[in-house]
Amino acid sequence: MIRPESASANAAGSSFPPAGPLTVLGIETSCDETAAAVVRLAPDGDREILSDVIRSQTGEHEAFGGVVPEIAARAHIRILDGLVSAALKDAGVGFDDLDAVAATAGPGLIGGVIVGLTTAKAIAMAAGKPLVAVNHLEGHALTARLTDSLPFPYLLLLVSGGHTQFLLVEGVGCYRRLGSTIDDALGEAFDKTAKLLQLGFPGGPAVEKAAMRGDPSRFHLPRPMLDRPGIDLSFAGLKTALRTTAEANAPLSQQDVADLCASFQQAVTDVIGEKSRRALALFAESHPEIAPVLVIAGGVAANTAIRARLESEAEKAGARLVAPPGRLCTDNAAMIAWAGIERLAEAHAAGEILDERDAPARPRWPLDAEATAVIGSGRKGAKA
Amino acid sequence: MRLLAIDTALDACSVAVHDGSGEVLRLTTASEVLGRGHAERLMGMIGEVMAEASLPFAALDRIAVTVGPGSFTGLRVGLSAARGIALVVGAPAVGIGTLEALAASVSVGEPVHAVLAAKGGEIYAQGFAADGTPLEAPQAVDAATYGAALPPGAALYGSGAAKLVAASGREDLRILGEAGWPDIAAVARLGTAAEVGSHPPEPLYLRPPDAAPARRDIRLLA
Repeated sequence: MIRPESASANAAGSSFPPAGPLTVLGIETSCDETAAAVVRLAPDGDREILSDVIRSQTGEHEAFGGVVPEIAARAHIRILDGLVSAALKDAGVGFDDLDAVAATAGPGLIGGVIVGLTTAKAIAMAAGKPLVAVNHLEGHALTARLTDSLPFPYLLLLVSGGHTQFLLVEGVGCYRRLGSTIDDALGEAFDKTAKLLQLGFPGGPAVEKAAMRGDPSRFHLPRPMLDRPGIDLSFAGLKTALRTTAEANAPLSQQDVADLCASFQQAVTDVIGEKSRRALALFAESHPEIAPVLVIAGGVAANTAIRARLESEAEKAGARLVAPPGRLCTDNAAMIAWAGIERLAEAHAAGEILDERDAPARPRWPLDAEATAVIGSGRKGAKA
Repeated sequence: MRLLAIDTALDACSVAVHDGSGEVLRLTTASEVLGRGHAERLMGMIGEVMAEASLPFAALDRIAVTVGPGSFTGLRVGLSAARGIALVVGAPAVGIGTLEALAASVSVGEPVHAVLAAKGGEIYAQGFAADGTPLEAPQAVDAATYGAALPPGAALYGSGAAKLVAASGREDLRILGEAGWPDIAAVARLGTAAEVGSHPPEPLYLRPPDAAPARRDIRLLA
């Protein structure tokens, strides 16, 4: 249960929180986590996660060294209805008690998104409730308002297996993408490093563990796009450089593997650190009236070295670093239910009825519709 | 029995509501040939058919859905909808084999082999006795091999029939029809008769996912 100290911490205006409580069922199936949750917003502004059920499919993808879309989709359909039942039971609510059903409609692996969105539409239709089609990225973007009652605006760094981007979050539905990876997501780069060095899947924790025993200065790996202005990132070249270095030094001892991991982690930490510094500077320019806040989300945010660097960059910029609890930083359904609540509250305040039962599943769905397409983003995987 | 039937396994997106029994049986159906995009159309179609039948979801006794073989994504669209509705209504969802429904779509009073084209040289096939009892489990099988084992003059039904005949060179086989998907009325009928426990609403893919295990680069590590 998460309760903010004061409802007045919210700066979204008189319409928020809404007149009555809002209780929403959330469903998330866009990658390799199947999740269902029930979240409630009380009229006094209290936010409560009534239930939060997640089943990870890690074991099913392990042998493949990465998430296999068809395997993921098969796992989602197998267990999703059972998870929804469990989430409602844990929350002690029935379908009648819900104000809406919210589901991830993209971006993500389309087979899984279709399972979650279709299940949600069926539940909504049979229960006579509205459906909210949530952008997965919006779920991440608004999580800090669920956990920390954070007012707008703030800067978000989303670093996961599917996404790596800086977003300026100015309101519900008001997102400006400041920069994004032009090829691989950072979590994907960790997974591919682990796959190359046979450290297992998921790669993030494995590479981090090996890096602890390694010398980060032994191999000089490139810091992609640091020499260019702007906030976009790239990790594909680093992956190639790592492979070339590994092959040049084969056969690799355990120490070589540790040094490669440490050197890789150092390279990406330098890149993320510098791009965060630039993003914070940009934030300060756009919103000089407030002290900057940097929110981090995504599985890679759990990496200790990256986290330490972000803390130091935030401190140098006079910014506050907000890191929601790990479970809510990685893929989950509570953030989807919460994004649904925020969008419902907005619609209610405007006197509008929100029901997106005709919304399609979308493999690609940038949060910032104005942002130009990023070069190289037309690749496989969950990109936005 | 008030039953909702759903089929999105193949090129058609079909929905039926089966209400009452005997002389008062009413069947309301809708079917569109889509090829793809079932996920966008299905829920709207369910809403339309339920409205036309003037039946609230809460009145449903059962939901029947085709489980495969068929398009992997298509199967999951139908199953997601059926299981989602079943969860809210508190009624069971029953799974009906696509080939069984296909065989039940043609009434001939003789054994029939339901056949759909699959990838490469394969077909999806299942044989049924004259009374509809399955003679074998549904299978993904080489068309020539399956054809060679059929009795003389066997009756075939489904869009894979011509492929089977061509692959096996069996000119004696009889093609009754080449439907690419089952009649939704047959799905509803089989759904009504199905025993709940033995017809789980789970996909029958008949093919593993296309994925190769990670290759181990043994040269790299000492």
